[in-house]
Amino acid sequence: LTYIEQRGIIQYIEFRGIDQEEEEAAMKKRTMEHTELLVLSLLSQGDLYGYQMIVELERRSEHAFDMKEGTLYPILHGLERQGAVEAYEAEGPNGRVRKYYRLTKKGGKYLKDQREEWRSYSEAVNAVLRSCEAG
Amino acid sequence: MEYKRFGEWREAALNQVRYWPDHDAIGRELESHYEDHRDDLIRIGWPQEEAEAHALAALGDPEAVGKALDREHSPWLGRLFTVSRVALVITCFLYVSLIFSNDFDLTHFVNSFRPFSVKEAAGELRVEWYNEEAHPAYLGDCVATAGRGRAVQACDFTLTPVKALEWETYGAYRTLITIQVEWSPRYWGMEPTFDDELCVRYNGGEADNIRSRFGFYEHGGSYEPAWAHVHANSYSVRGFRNTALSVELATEEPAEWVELYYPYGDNDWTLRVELEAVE
Repeated sequence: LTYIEQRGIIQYIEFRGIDQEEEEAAMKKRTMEHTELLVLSLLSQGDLYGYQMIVELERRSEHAFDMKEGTLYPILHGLERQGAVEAYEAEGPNGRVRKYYRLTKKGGKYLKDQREEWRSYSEAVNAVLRSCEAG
Repeated sequence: MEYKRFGEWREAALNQVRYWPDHDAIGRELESHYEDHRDDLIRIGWPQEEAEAHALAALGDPEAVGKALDREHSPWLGRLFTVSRVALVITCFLYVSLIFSNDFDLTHFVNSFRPFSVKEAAGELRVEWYNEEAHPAYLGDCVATAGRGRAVQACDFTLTPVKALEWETYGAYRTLITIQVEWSPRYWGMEPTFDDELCVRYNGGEADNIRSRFGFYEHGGSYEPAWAHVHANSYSVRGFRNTALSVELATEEPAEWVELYYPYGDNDWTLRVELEAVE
């Protein structure tokens, strides 16, 4: 985006008067998309149930992700509805029946797209940061 | 609001989910998560009460979680899914009932194209009805036949003579004629009553229409007067009603032609089948 275009967007945003609530909703949406990507990445390693995913996310991110655990389930159910994952019930070692999630073919393709999108986005952000540091 | 027990938390979350058939499954999954977390904390030395409180707090706000779940378990999508499953079950049921109903009897359907088989060997003829053992009366020398006739329109019926055979047995003659009858769907529900009303005439006069093809002795054990038995098998094919009509005639003298007369309101019709003598 050129400077003028950016200005234009900023003015448009100001004109629309985006309030705190909308901003929070947008943030939530972004967080949800990222969580979807993380969940699908975990499932590409093997079948997991919800609690295992939370534990794995904490372990692999070195406790950087601090999400409310209950919010994982709407994301999982949404992915299941879209056909990106499928669920089945199985008994765990302690006899408790758990709902496991498995990545589907469609989910694998979705993960690939999301991963590429994330990489190009993070590369763009890094490029801006690097140029600012150098400048 | 502070939720001290998991049961309260779950109820608060599920209250937000409008599609109630999914409540059980969601509740079980959340409970399993909560118990796993609580048990892990106890295992590393947390006191039970604190472990429960921590595991519950980690789940987050039940109303927010419930609202998010509600979006994924939309009542409309759920109902649509339920309705489609019910529709599938009904369709399967109707399909199976159609196949096993009297209207679509597979045996009748197959037999309608081959209602009787005829074996001719060294001038001897053997007629077998619907895979049954041949009755002695259905064994004899073939004296006359008629091949497949062209389809003719008679009022609302399309009649196609399929085959006719005449043979000599016990010093008398039997004639078997099969006709394919198709009629317009406009007349669904008005099943023709060929069995009762079809009149069978031949060169010797009119035959008595008897109800049972084994009615020879009921008929007095005689071929005078001649008698006929009419048998109609109805079924549906691609929405059209069809009847495989079989007419059996027993006469003292050989039949040279047979006329089938059907009184159908103001539109009576007669179909004549000419038999050709076998040299």
